[in-house]
Amino acid sequence: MILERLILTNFRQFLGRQEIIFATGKKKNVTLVHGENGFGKTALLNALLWGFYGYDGLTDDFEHKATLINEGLAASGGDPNDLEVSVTIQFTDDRDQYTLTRSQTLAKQQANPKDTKLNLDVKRADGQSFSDLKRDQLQLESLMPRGISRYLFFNGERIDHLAMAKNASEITDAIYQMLGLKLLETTIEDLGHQNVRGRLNKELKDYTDESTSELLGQEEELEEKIQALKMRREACCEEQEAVASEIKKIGAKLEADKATRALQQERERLETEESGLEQRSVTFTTRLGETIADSGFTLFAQELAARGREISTQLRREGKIPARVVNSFVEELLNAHRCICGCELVEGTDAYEKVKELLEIAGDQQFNHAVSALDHAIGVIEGQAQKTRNLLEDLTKERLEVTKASEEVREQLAEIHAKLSSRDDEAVVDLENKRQELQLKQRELDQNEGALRRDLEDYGGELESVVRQIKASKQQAKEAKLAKRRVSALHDAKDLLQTILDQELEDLRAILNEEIDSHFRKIIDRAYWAELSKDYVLKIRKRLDPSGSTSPIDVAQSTGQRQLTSLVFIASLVALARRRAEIPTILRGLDGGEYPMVMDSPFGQLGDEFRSGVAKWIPSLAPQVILFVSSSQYHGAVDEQLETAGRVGRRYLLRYFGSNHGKSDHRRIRIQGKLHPQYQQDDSERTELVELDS
Amino acid sequence: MPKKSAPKPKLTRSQKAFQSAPEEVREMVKRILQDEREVMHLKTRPKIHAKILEHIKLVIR
Repeated sequence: MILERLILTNFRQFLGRQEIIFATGKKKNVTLVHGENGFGKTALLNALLWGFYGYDGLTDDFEHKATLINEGLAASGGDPNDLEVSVTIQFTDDRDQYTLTRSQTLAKQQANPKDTKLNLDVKRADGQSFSDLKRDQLQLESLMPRGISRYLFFNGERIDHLAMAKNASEITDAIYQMLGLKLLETTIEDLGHQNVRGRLNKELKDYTDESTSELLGQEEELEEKIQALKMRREACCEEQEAVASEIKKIGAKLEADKATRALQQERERLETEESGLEQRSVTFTTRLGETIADSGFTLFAQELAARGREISTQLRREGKIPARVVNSFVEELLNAHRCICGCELVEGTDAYEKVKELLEIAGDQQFNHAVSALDHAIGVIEGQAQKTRNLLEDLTKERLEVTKASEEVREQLAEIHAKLSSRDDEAVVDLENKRQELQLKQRELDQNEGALRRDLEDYGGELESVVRQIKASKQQAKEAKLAKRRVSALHDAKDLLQTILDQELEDLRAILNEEIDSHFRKIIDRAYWAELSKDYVLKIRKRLDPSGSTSPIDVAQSTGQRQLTSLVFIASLVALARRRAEIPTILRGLDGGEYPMVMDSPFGQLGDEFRSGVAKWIPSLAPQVILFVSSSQYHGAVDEQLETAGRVGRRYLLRYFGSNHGKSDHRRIRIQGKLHPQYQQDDSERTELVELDS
Repeated sequence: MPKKSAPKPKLTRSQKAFQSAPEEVREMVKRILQDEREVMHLKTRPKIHAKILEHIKLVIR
């Protein structure tokens, strides 16, 4: 899908008809919209989302979602049935041209803000045109599934959560959505639905014996429990996100205030450090556990090894081990009736008896091998015990250091909190107290989520066992046999799809990792690399020792680094989606999908060192990039990089008209060396889209 | 000279897993996925459950 044009009519501050024509060139694929905060960048992003998905598509940070019609117009006293807001989006997909228009009258907005009118006109590549009102939304969502939208249309300053360990499920969801695996996930869900599994189970229950019936009852009960737990966990995760977003907002407010900026920035630095220390502590604890499990026994076996060594030395001293003569050799001589000296060995003769006596002190070859193996094992245990002791000591020492460092960081954080909460400024104290409440809530939610996850794992295990028993049950009656075959086939189909989903996801992870890492290394110039771990966490990693002899460790990511890894992840997904058809998959008909990336403030939290790389590389990954930027985000590295690369195909400015924006330094904006007015005093508050030379 | 046939593409792990499943399960999965493709993007899919049941009953008789 390539976006061609956006037409807004009375959408929020965009009074009357305003339009943007998007850049669609292969090289010049970037559309830049310049706009200061409060001039309408977020409204533009939401206009696109409202066009595609209506009220439910609007982002969480878009306030007053229920009132989209321009405020001044709504208050003008006109007929509510005549006053209308509308968004028209023209786009192409696979050479077909689409025009969608979503509209809503003031009367409908007041009655039910979700009630909108959608019209989708299609002009096929073969020249045929049509519109099917009943299937418009369905058709639209098959072109741009709703689940994909949040990875393509987003506020860059809020995307960093993707790189948090607790949001691994969002990462897998993004892969499912963008690379076609959603089909498998949805089918698995539907197979387990009460209307499918429940009905087949009921049929079996009607014909089966008491014990199977009981098992079916247990299965039902467990499914219900799992379902309820899943819902609770989902709600918990949503709450976690909401709390994190609130904390972020408070942080932004404290950072915007000159008096508290330094403390807040220091707190953010310390919190990043704390999270890094926590990760290191987990790594050390895991390695301690692994070391104890793998070679902890060597410490307890030391006494045993010493005793073994003593016995073996004693036996050696006595000449009992190793066997000096091998019995098979003596037997061969006796059987051949000839000694190695050439003398004939005849039974009953003195020579024969002498050789035969050797059998009493002879041992077999295997015995000698066993002696060697024993010596080796004792040596290994002795050597390993020392290594294990050293390793455990090192790990414990490092863990203690990390714990100590964490305590120090926590103390410093507590000091910052004490300083902020005792300031002589009521607003700051309120913010600080609210922040602390939210942090406590966050901890509680983290614990709840962990407990719910563990319960889900336990019940999942129980369910698996019950299903295995149902499948193994023997049925006598013909109807019961058929019902059981169907139940078993349903479970087999579900298991097969889950296996396929897991394997496809794992195979894609490897390809995605190559993609992510190659782009990440272009942007970041340190000895770091990005990785999507086995448990689908976006990580930045490094080696402590540049020679590469030590294991890599996770780098504690700052907000800016998390934003960077999240952006690289999404851009890599978009790039992979483009060449999806080339990647082997079991799912037929997965063509390459082209998607635009629409980003509001993508450079917000990135430091200068990353801005340049993101501006340079992201446009080469996605077929179309639309950026909404403020002057502070644009000037400098971004400006330089986009201009040098010659990527900008279209450029717009949000010009604000109003009476209450008096900052003189915001009245004009310098773009490409020219000054453009971006604020004009006017009684009618509105924003206009002004096209500039690209 | 006998014609050389093009080498068969290597199967992915998931393709192998699918091929090693029983015939009736494969058939069921194929039919169900075909119907799911059309409605997977919808929030509610009331008819899909009836269709899945139908496929299972038709294949497992």
